[in-house]
Amino acid sequence: MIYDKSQMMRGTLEGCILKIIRMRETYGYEILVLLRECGFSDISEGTIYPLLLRLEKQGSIQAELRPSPLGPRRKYYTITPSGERYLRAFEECWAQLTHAVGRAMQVGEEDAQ
Amino acid sequence: MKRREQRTVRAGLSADNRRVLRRIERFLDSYSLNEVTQEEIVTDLTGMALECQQRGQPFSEAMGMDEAVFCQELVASCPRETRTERALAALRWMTAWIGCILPVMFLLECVFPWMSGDIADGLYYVPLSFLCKYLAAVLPVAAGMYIFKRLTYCSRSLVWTLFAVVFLFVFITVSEVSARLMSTVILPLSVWLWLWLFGGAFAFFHIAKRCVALTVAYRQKRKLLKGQERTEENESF
Repeated sequence: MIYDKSQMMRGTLEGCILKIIRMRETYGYEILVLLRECGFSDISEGTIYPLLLRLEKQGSIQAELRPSPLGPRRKYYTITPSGERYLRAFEECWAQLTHAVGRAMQVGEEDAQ
Repeated sequence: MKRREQRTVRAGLSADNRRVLRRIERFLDSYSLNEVTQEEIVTDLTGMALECQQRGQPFSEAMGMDEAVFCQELVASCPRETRTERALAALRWMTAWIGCILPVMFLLECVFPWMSGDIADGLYYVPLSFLCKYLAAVLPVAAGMYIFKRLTYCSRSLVWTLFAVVFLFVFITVSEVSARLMSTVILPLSVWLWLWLFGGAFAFFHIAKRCVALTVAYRQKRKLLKGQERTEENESF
């Protein structure tokens, strides 16, 4: 059976997107490029856009339309105070999760040996 | 503004990209989303498609997934139409269809003068039974079209075929109803007055629906902004 990583990706990508937007005001394609550089090689604009829309609807980010050199106006995103809180909560949760999963994997390996 | 912008951008898209966008729009149509939100999404996607095209990448490839899956992901976080919006949309639809009856009958009368009505003194004299038959044929068809439009994805041809079949069936059935069962009263109707009346009603429902859609779409934004202002004030204290 193949492991379906899309569910896991969805939750973690939201946090990563927020982190990128907190670094600087940016737009969809730039976020995609940065995420790919980080190692999320198999994501596409189709993955990013629904997440950006979700974050915008829940008030974590704000979008502003500005002219782009490639033609139509482009949406630039900035993080909101509520997004900052959401990101802090994500970072705490992620730290706990990686710690716990790391421990669990270690225990598994020790038992196998 | 958004629609005009969309049209301009869309004109620059390749046929393939336009086809993908049209499929996405049809899919979104079937979800009964708030119309302002849907327009925003379509504007974003149109811009995205044009940027992809200028980078030399097909839009379908940039999406990286099936359009249906993509739309399901999109609609999960979007507000749906409220009951008021749905009611106004249905009323707008029915007004448009009923409003079309008399002009269509009038035009048919001009082409085929042996039909039931008469044209004199700028008025269209139509037997009540004939008008009832048309109404009876149009109402189920219009209602059916409205439901089908919202339930089907990527099957406009199916909707139109069903429309034609249902219309013919209802019309033939209704035309078989004996004239004696219906009143023989002849109504003098002004086509212009009829058009003004239903045109006005259609415009009213259209504007009302747009206002409700705008209110629903921006109420959420206003709430979020107010909430943020409050937390900023609290943090500064």
